[in-house]
Amino acid sequence: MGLLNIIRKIKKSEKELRILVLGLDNAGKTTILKALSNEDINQIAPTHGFNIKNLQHEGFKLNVWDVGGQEKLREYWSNFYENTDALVFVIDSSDQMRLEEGGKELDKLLGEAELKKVPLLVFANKQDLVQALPADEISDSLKLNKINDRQWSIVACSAKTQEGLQEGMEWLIKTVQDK
Amino acid sequence: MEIQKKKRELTAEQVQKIKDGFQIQRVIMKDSETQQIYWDSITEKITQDLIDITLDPKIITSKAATRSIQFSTKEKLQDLILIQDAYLHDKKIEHFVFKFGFVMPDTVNTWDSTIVNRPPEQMLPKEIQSGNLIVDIQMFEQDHLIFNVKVRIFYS
Repeated sequence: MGLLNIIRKIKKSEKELRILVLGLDNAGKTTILKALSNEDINQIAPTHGFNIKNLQHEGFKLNVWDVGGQEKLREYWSNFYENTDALVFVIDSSDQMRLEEGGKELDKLLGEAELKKVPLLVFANKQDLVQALPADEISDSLKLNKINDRQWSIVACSAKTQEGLQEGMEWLIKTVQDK
Repeated sequence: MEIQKKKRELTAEQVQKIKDGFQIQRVIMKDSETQQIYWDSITEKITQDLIDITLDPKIITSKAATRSIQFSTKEKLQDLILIQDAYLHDKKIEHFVFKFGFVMPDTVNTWDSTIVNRPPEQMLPKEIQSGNLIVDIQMFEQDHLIFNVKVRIFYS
């Protein structure tokens, strides 16, 4: 599984695809991308910047940008919107206290002109933890049903067990390419 | 809608400040599937202009190889670009450009570039490459060169 499999079987209609991965700090953005790259996920430090995954196959490029989610970094998020084809928003499903904060950040993103019509995948991460809320409850809390200007999906996942990761990314890329 | 971003003119002093605050912290070359590490800069110095590295020839026959570059910057960068040219016996055989664009100040960033290799029979044999292949990596902030290293590759 993983990004490498995705790029091997992707239809290469476009030259390049840019996916932006955002979410609060500690949501698991970097861990998800490492899991999707067959990397060790046991030692991951908070991201004080960005991590880019650039994959190339037969002239096609897949670029995934994971930008740190700490509050002082969020003010810079807007610098990364340009040319984004797809947005991934990661939620820590086990942290109910910060769901509202995550929802507010997501709302801001959905209002950004540069991200208009960009398909959205919400990863309800950390489903391996007992206290994790199911995806439908997170969807209600984030009021995803009110989104009517783009295609969106929420996928329950666990970067730790890899559940849902492939399914989510495949949905996102298919959605972008069918657009 | 085209969004016009105003180009920031940099003084020589600002360029120097950017250079001084910019550092390549670590470079790793590995097999993308098995994660086997072929080369890790942690034991080498990457401040020299030309460095010789010796790689396990398995990297040529691996299905996909990843190069990971970790860099830090004190200054904000507006338009960071990486240009990589590969030369075999001084003849350019590859030209590659990656546009980072904006880089936040006081950050550590990683860039993992994975290339799905062509079938092994289409790859240049290690005897032809070894010692004759030089990879020139340049990083620019707008038009200003802020980092440059040439890597000569040998195979064990």
